[in-house]
Amino acid sequence: MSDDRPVIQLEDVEKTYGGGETAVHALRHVTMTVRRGELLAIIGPSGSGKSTLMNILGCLDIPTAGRYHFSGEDVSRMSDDSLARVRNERIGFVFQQFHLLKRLSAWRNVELPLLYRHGGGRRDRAMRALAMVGLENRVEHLPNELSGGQQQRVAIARALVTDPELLLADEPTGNLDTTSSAEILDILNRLHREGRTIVLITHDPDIAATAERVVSIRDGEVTEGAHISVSHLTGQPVATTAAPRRRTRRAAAPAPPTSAPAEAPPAPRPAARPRRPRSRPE
Amino acid sequence: MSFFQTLATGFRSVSGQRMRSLLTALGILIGVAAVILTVGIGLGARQSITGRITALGTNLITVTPGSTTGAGGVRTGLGAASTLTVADARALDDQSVAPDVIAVAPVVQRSASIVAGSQNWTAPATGSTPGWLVANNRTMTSGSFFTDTDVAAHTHVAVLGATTAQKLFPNQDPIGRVIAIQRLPFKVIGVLNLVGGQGFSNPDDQAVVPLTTAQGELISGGSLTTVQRILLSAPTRDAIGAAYQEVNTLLLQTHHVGNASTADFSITTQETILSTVDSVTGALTLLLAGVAGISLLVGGIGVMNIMLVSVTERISEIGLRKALGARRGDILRQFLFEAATLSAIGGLLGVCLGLLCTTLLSAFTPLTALFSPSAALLGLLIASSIGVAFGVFPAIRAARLAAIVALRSA
Repeated sequence: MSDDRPVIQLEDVEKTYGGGETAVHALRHVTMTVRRGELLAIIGPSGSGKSTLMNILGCLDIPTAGRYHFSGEDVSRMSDDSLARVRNERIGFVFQQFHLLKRLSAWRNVELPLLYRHGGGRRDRAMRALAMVGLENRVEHLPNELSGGQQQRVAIARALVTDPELLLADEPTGNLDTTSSAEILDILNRLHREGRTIVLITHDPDIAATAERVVSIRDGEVTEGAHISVSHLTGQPVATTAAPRRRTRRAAAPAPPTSAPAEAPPAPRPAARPRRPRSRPE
Repeated sequence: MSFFQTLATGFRSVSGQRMRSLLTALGILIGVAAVILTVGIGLGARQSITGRITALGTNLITVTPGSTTGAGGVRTGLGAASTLTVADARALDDQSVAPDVIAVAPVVQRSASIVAGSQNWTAPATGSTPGWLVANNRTMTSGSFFTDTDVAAHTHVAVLGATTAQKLFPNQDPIGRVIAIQRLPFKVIGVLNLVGGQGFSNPDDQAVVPLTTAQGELISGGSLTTVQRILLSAPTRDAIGAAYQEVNTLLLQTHHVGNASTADFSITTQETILSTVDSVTGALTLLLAGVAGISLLVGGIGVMNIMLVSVTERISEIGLRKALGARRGDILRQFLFEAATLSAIGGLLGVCLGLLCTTLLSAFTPLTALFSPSAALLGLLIASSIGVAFGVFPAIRAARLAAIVALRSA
């Protein structure tokens, strides 16, 4: 039953840096929901509050005001260590800079999140995660012995190794050439088809276009994007803060057939169900 | 993160930067080696001094005039008063009064010029009685010691120390030869055994003559009744305490001193000398070790420096680890452990270097240095705790870094 709860539910979230006259409102009244099994792209130019939103979604930071429920659990007022636990057990990060430790081999990098929790079989789990991204033949390689695309695949394996409820990818293709980018997006799409909940943060409309749903952010305000490229080009908010309600309705049933571009079939839902028992015991 | 994982991560990090780790450990290494070496030299000095004093005869009790307790009022310095008499010595020689005293030797001494033929030598001339030989735990190499008869008759005979004999009669037998002490002729009747002392009052370099002869003819203005000190010997080391009491009681009585703290004499046993030497060399060792400890401190600051650099360099690693679920405690422990590992490596190498240096020093220089396992262990412990202590600040800085700040600064 808990599976019916959205993975991400932001209610009127605000983030302000500094105070008084110099206060910077990085996020204003952000209300949004990400359902289980969704692939959501958040698009916005630099300085739009995109990074702040990503930090909040990734439980790296807490909002100044408003509520953030992660799978029904309020994480908006959690302590540092509790947030660390949430990140460790429920969120997988993929960064633009890969952030691999250069002195550790591929599998040692993938193993990292498992070091901060109990339980053994770390090598096996790391191997399985690397196999998921097709790097089973590169496990002992150091990051600098791998191409950029391969490094990012190692990073994806590291995000997957804990079998998280949410995969948070921050400009995952930002440092990659076109071929490698396509490779990474393919993997993300495949993971989505397998039932993963993925939030993809990008400034590139073409990349956002691969997602079934797009949200754009500008000057700290989030708006549901009708069609990505159009909304980005015009830069005009299509909806106001009232949007979430509309979006929720849309995302509930008719969304996948209408907004999914090209190859994303309504498959995600049937596929999502068998996955659930696996992610719960974590 | 489990303890074992922290260890593994720390080791990987330290071994990943071998050159830097070694240089950092060098500070600790030198500090620990210096502590071990100075403590070793101190212990060696103590051992050799103690050895020499023991060679003089540990059962020896010396009575000197004046007082070292100097409570209040004007007191003459140690040995300056002439309150000890031949009568005191004679009284102490009474077995019924002092049963734990087996030999008594009243002594007067002066520096004298000694001439034998063309050889000229300056050495202490000691006037005493046959008890001197027993009290000082000495034997004869050749000839014989003078007797009570010689003392009573003021004869001009002399017994030479081994060094003195060698200086005056190089490669000759001195027995039966005549020497001049302060221009007075003395016949050499014996040579003392070699005990091999050095430094203050070399027991092998002196000429011993009958007490009365020295009092009457060698000491200017000397009297036949007063002596400079009285040497006594207890039969065993255990009897020293009893002998001390007997001598003290008797002398307080004969000198008519009611209160022991105002006594006009002072009794010294080898035990008290040994304990004084012990405390002096101990203080000296502590001083040296303290200086060496400062270098250990400097080494610790080096560790802190490197750890701070390391934290700055690895900000993005810290951010990543935090993003992946590392808690503050995990990061804190990781950096603390790295600092402790660096220091422990330095400490271990320092112990090896200290051991090597003490061995080399003992083998190739006249200094004696002893390797003290307890000093090594202490040095190692101190090194590790310095590592942890100086690692705390950088580690706290690392642990406090916010994940987002740390990630962005990549």
